[in-house]
Amino acid sequence: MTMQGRCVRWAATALGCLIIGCAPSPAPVRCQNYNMAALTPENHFAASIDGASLPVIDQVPEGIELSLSLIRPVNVPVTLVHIVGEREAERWELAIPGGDQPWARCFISPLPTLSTCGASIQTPPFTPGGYYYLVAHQNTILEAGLSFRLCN
Amino acid sequence: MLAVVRIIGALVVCAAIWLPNLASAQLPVCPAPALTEPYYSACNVGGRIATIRILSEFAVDQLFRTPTLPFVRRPFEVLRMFDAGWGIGDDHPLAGYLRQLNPIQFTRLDTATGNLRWDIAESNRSFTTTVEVQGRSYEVSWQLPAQIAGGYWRTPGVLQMALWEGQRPTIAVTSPDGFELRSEISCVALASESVRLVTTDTETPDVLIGFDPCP
Repeated sequence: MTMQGRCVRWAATALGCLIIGCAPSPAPVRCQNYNMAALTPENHFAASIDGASLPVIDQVPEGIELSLSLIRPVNVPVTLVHIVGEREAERWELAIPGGDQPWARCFISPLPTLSTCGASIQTPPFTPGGYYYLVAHQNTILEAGLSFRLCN
Repeated sequence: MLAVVRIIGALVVCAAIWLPNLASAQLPVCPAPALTEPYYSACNVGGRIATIRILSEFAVDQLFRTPTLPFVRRPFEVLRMFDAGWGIGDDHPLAGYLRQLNPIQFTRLDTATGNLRWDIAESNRSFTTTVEVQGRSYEVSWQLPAQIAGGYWRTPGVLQMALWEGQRPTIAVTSPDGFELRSEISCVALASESVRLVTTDTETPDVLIGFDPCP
């Protein structure tokens, strides 16, 4: 690496540390959130995700996160469906937690006790790639975001 | 006349190609993270609450405001949201500087996307301050272009801002040992669990600031 390269690395380290203080050596982090798709009225709350470069979900704390903007009350569960090829791989009935905020988050884990909306991954290891669509039923869902929490 | 027909035909073809791409454009604008790549990582206690508030207020503006009218975020107000975690008081020079800055303008394109524009007055295009971290004094400075601009992609859980080439900030840090170093930022991903700063130089690891629980 060039001297300039080393200096730039040092600068980025110091910048991160300046904000809050940190360990200055660059290193892989154990887990990352991969924000993959927005499910919106424009795409009919559906999206295809290329999972070719993504590892499978099979360990804690990995999982699927669905963030929602909505209008309360939410009276019945919303449904998230995962299609692989032409086959329905999983279908999650998500009981949205109560509250008065116009947003909600559901974490779908292989471990039921870590899942926050009453649905978990049934058949780990779970391959994230595929086609996803959201069914609001009688609820008013304004938009949703789909992300994966993946770990080394 | 033939030339006009050709131009119209070309426009129709371009529209036919472009519109389906627009319809499927609800995809991230920052490069995806990588589990195998090194990061300069850090942790900010209290950052999660601040970012959830920022993201939820952003969603309200994005979804309910008149689409053609930009909405704004004032840099000083953003700093205030993180104040508990960053410990920069009202009397800090950075707070005074941020108060002088113009608001950042966001213009919606569709539910998930939009453009951002931040006009920087000439007197505010560079700034230098000193921050104490763990007993060591660092000089931080940045240079801003006349206009920072880019496109954004968002969901209820993330706001990614990709900045156009030539309209990006350059941040510099001078260590207590006297080194002065620089890094341009090409993308900022603000999510409920972290902030990721993507550096332009491919040899420079990105910066990842995680939120609580901190190790």
